[in-house]
Amino acid sequence: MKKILLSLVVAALAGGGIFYVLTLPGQISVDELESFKNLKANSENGRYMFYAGGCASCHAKPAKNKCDEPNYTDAFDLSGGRCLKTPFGTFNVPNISPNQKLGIGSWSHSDFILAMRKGVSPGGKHYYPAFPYTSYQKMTSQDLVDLQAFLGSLAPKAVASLPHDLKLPFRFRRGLGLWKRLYLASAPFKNDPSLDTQLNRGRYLVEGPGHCSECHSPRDSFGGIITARKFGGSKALEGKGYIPNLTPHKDGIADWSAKDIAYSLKTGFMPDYDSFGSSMVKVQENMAHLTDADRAAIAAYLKSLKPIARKK
Amino acid sequence: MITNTTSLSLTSALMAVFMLVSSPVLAENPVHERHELMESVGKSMKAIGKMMQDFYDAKVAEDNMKIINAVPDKFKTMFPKGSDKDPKSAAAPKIWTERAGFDKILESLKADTAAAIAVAQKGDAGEAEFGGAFGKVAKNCKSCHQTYKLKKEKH
Repeated sequence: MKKILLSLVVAALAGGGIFYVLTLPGQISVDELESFKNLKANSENGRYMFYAGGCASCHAKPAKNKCDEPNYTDAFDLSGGRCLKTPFGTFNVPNISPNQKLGIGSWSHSDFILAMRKGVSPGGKHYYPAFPYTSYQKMTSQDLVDLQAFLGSLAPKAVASLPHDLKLPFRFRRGLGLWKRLYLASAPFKNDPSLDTQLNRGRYLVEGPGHCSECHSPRDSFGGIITARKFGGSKALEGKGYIPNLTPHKDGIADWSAKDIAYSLKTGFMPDYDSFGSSMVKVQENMAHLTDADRAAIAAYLKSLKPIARKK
Repeated sequence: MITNTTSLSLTSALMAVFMLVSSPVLAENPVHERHELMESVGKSMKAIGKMMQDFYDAKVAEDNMKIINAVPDKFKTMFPKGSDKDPKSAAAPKIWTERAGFDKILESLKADTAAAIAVAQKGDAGEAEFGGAFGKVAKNCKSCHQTYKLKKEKH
């Protein structure tokens, strides 16, 4: 009996130890940090990345104080306050204005990079992937440094962030360490040598800052993107409805030309002159700030995706 | 020989049948009606959009803005209670719960299309002004779809 008890205790300790190790929050290596020190921040490019990354879509103070509506009046008021109601519970979007205490004004370069690349807070806690670091992780070091400089130039807002209100198993942040092992790429994102410059630029904007797949892909029950169906459209995780298929399948954008895609991102009009709705309205308004060349690159990359049928 | 009276009663009988058939369709399928109306707006916006990328044509601008101008009054009556339940409907529940905001956008669409018609009626002289007027009209599409339309795959 004693032996059984003892082995149970040992097993529990070992299990706990394994869990502890497997769920350790990621860190930025010394080499990676060193490489950042030589970069000179360009706030103008940071502004461009702010639009490409759609930061305001979630972090801007919601209009009319309605937290569940994808609408804001001032893209540069990053007090947070939007709520994302999902099957996992409600995520309350935090203040990322440069307020020293309530925002991210006191963050060092390494704090910012740790958040964007590893989804880890300066205090060493895992962020939930509602913050799309799975995509932002692909951004270049230069773009990240520039973005942080631009965010730092905006008005600090003295608004406290609300805690998330999640369902039970998801309340334990530590478990996200396991999630990240499954769904967060550990290797840095690199250009694909088989693609031309335009396709590589489009791929970068779509997969990295643009984080298109985060909404346009179905997720499994743990909230990870189902890789085989990436970009294939999905029932909306936040709010109601169905998010369209972005691949060149007949269910998706097969009958859109690359020009149609670029034009829709510039104007908000689809080929039949229906206009984008719901959360895509602000996404499009952000995309309208990009250059024609970048919108064309996004369009070219989307047209190059493998066609996937929408899941019924 | 068919007399005038018989043909008249035949016509009215046919009319009655037609009304019996068509009125429940109108009442029971507002979703279809809504889609048809929105598609007509899309067609008119497309005609104007293409025209503006091509050569300015005040007549195309005026005719199509008139079509859109007639939409808000019709649209207001097309959302009876329960018509959000149709799986094909892309109408967001807020049309029923926050109706005032919805009506406000429809009124704004009516006013902005009326202003655009006035610009178009200036003929070629209105060309420079029309772009801005068109932009104002388009903003109503966006603001309405943002709040009052669900994310939806096309059928």
